[in-house]
Amino acid sequence: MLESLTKSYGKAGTAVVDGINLEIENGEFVVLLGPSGCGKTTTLRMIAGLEKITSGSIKFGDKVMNDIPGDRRNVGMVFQNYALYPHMSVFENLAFGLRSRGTTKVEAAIRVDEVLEMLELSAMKRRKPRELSGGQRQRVALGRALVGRPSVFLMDEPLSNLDANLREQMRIEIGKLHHSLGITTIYVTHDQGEALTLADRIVVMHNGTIKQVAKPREIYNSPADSFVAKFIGSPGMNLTEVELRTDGDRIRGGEAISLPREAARVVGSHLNKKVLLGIRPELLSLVGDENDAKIVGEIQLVEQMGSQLQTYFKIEGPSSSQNFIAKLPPDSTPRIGEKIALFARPSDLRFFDALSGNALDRLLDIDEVKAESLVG
Amino acid sequence: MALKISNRPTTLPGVDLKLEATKPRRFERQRDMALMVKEKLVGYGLILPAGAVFLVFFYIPAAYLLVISFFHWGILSPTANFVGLKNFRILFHQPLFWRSLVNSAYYTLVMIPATTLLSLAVAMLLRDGMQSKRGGIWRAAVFLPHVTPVVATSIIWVWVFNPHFGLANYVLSLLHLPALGWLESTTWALPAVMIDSLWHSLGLYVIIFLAGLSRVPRELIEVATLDGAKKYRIFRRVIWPLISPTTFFVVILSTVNTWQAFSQIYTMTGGAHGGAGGPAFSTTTDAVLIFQTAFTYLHFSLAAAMSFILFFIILTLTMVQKWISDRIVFYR
Repeated sequence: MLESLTKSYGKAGTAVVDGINLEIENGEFVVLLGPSGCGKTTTLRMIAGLEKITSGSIKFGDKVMNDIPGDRRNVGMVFQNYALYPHMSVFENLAFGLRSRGTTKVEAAIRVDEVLEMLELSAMKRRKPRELSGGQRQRVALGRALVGRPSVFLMDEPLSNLDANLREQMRIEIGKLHHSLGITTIYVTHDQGEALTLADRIVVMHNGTIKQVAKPREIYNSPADSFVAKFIGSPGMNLTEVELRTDGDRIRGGEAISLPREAARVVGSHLNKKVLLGIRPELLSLVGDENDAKIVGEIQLVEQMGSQLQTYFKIEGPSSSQNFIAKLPPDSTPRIGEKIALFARPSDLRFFDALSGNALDRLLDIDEVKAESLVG
Repeated sequence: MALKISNRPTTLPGVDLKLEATKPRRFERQRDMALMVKEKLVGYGLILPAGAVFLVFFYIPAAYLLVISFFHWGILSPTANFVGLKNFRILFHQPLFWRSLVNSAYYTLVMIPATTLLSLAVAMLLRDGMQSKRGGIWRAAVFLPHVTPVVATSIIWVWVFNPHFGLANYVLSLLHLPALGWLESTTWALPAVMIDSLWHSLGLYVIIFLAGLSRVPRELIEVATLDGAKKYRIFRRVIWPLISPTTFFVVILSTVNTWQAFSQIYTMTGGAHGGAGGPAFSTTTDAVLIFQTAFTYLHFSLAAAMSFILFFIILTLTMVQKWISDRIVFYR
């Protein structure tokens, strides 16, 4: 559990981690996700005891860990660059910690062999790290963290030094490992793919603060603010500032955007005010009807992605034009310079406060709105 | 530009396709040759100044030294007679020569471990402050003696070691230890010179060790800490093996420097008055004896033979160290 955890540097007290609160359940896999410099690694290092805490507290269970040195916190840590002892064999790398803690030679050998077998590294036992491939090194690093039987497993961007294929493979292995061992894991990454696939819960961080803590699906579907909306997803959510006004049986957001009348109930008090409208690129479709939101724009660029066409188009906003991206089916034929009309289900639209960026109440599913209006 | 695909014909499965290497046209080959020659000339041109300095001040004198060691020649005599190995025979029958070797060996055997261990210890202390301003001041303070002129500072050390009003004996008296004769004593003169040398050279080795330590990744220390290793174990099992190439370099460098030690000994033991190496030859090292043989007694060929022997000793030592290091030094 982290309570008002803060870390600042220098005399000016620039806070890199600014009073974050987070409770992690036993056995949970939590991913700290954010762009570089958001404070996620610093948070992890504070949990490991490698970084002094400026204020706040870290508790394991009920025990305050603030002043307990890292080696007595019973954590296993995996570093980004593996941090294997280059002059020691795989076996020695794993045994070093056990021997430092006074485990007997025989006992240490048994435990190291156990872990090496689990990670399918037994054949590499006598090799030095430089004689191993990137993936093998990564597994040794995992093994070294595991062999001490930690109560918390900390991983600092463990896959970022691997190439794309290997990364995917190791990601699956880490997932399996967590599933079988059930050790509480805190995993730092800037790669949302890793976060979305591995995490029980994702903690999105930005500028030293937590923006949202939620299950991957919720983070993706209902971002708490415009930063999370933009940061999660590849590409992130399309966002544009609009001022929604009623216009006959539709609601209009400038020239480009038109929403069905039913949306009014949900947009409610935000009608005639500036809001950020968001829609995920994959939820834009070429077909739709009057019950759907309609967005028109001019195609700027089409990227062939294999399973889809990533289509960049420009929509006219109230003050400036805005670039949107849509993922269109591969058999469609968008052409650069063409006008295009795209549709989205109102329930897929997200609204954020124009100033704070905080999510406004999610637009209710259109069927619910209809049902309610029928009842009303 | 000619595209080279392969020198051998390549066949794809199921396809009868031959890709022939395209031969560069003649003028292209000539142009490539001209470029290569030009590149080489520029390369040689760039190393020429340094090469010339090395040739004139190192290789030619070294070769000349070897030649005159086989002659009987003083700087004042117009002729030189070939005497074969006679100079070497004279030396081997000369007790003072053996004494100088023993002195040099003693000096080196004490100085190498002392400089290596002390400079490593100081570097470890300074390591934590690598980034800070205060660390910079400390580093400068440690390095400063190394850039001072040996002759000037050695004169100060002569005062320090003065048996009657010197600082060294004052410090000993504070510790309730008996006063020593220092430079006037056959037992303590060489240790006094060692202290001066250590003080003067320490900074250089500290900086070299700091560079070596800075290459030990911080994560390794952190991992070892989380692994529960205490400070000494981290040093012994992680830092020490990883800086072993630096340690090896420091050992080689200090071996060469100490075998050739001259300035401190010459200045501190009365070189200015013609009595360097005293009292009673207790500080006559190889280098001092070579200097005196050549420039005091003007036996140039004998001094040349001695220099050659000194060169041979240092070469042998370095090779032995290299042999040992290949077995214990860890190169990444």
